Amino acid sequence: MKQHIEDALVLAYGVVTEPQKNIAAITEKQQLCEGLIIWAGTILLSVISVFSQWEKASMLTLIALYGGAALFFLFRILFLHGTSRMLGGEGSLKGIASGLCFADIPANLATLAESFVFILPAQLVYLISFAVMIWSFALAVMAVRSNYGLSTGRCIAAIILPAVLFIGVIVILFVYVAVSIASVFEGF
Amino acid sequence: MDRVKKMRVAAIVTVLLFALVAAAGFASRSPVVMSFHQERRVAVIRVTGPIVGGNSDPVSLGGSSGTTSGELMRQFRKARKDDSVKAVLLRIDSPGGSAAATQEAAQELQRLKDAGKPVIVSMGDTAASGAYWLAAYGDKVFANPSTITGSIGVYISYYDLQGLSQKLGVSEEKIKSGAHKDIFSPFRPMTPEERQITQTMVNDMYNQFVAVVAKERHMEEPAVRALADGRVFTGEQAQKAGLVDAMGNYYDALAYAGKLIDADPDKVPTVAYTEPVSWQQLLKGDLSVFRFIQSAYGAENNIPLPLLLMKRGWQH
Repeated sequence: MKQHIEDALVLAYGVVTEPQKNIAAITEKQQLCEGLIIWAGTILLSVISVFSQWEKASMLTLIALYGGAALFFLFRILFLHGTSRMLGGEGSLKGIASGLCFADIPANLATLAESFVFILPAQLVYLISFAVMIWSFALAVMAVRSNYGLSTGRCIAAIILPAVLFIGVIVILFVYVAVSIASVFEGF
Repeated sequence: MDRVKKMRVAAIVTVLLFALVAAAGFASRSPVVMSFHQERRVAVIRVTGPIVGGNSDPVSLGGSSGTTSGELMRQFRKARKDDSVKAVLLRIDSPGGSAAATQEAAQELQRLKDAGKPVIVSMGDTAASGAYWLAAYGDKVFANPSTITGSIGVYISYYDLQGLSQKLGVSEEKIKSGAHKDIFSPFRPMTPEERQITQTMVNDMYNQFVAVVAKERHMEEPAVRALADGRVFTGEQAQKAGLVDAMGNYYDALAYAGKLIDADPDKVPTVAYTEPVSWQQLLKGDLSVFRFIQSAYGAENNIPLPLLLMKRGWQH
């Protein structure tokens, strides 16, 4: 375990300083154990942020945070794996999972900025959060590219597609409900 | 950089990150920081309809609503304990009601004032009798020129149905422990002694009412008694008599409250403490159907039910 933690720290350093080279190595070697250590650490930072700010936080909050994050991460990997394969990529689920764990490292910076929202201007916090989002997105694109061998454009499409599909389904459902209700009043 | 150095740098950054986040989180909860960032707000508390005793909204099949002393006390206490609330706007549109219910609520209102939070009163259509009792606690009282207010006085009424019951062939037999146990029985007229007892009660409550108005309005009691023969006043008349401070509508009162908390008079941050209502309250009879629908639509004002439903139907 100690070795994995040490490797995780070294890899985290590498992802921040030389992202392209290190993300490629992570996905190729499928370093999921190290990835999960980093992922758990990222969620733990959010947990500490919540517990230190919110006096009513309890064990249930902890379970909800970790449980929710795990579920979301699982769905994210599965959707990404599916869409990448659909777009012609070939790669492993373990590889993309490892890469995405490290792609979320910048989120810790957003957690840090949000913790200081009581003294920092809100606009600065939003700016930092937005920059972090772009950074994480870029790392995710690198992970998909190195794991599935897709072009940059297809990598971006693979990452964005699940969200676009989700919004599309909501819009279609909304239109369906509106048309159904409107049809009830026809003839009055 | 070699592997060990990279590991050390990453470990130090990680520890620093965790420490900073934890420290920031706890610091944001410190009273100094919280008071610095707390928005200063005006709590808007409404007294609408008759003031009655009890905890929840009175059931009313007719759809009219009132205000219970329980609801008022709860809101006054919340405003007192809410550190972000620096002033209270009491909006009154009530013909009055139960003296005891009004007193109960007034006690909490006094505690709120004692906590250093100014109370601004805005009278609507009507703020008479018990509603004026509450309004008198205002540090500044606004009324419209045609508001109906005053009616400083007390009455207790009962029905003498003896004649009717005799015609119906109905009589009541009562075995009682004391002569005055059934003092307000509708099946017999009041005795002179009972009338005297009731009059004493009314006088006592009246004296309490007059004392409150004299104290809160900084008037001499004889001056208040001269006005307190139960008559109503328009807002304008009340201002001349010293029962009201200024003419103005709800927004004038809100702007005044806003100035007290150094807020832009046109954009005063407010908070209201109305509790969400539930199906269980409706089914148990703790709530009128009208109030349930009003709450479900988020309507704060007393909009007649047909208009409310039409308005919502049109919007959808």
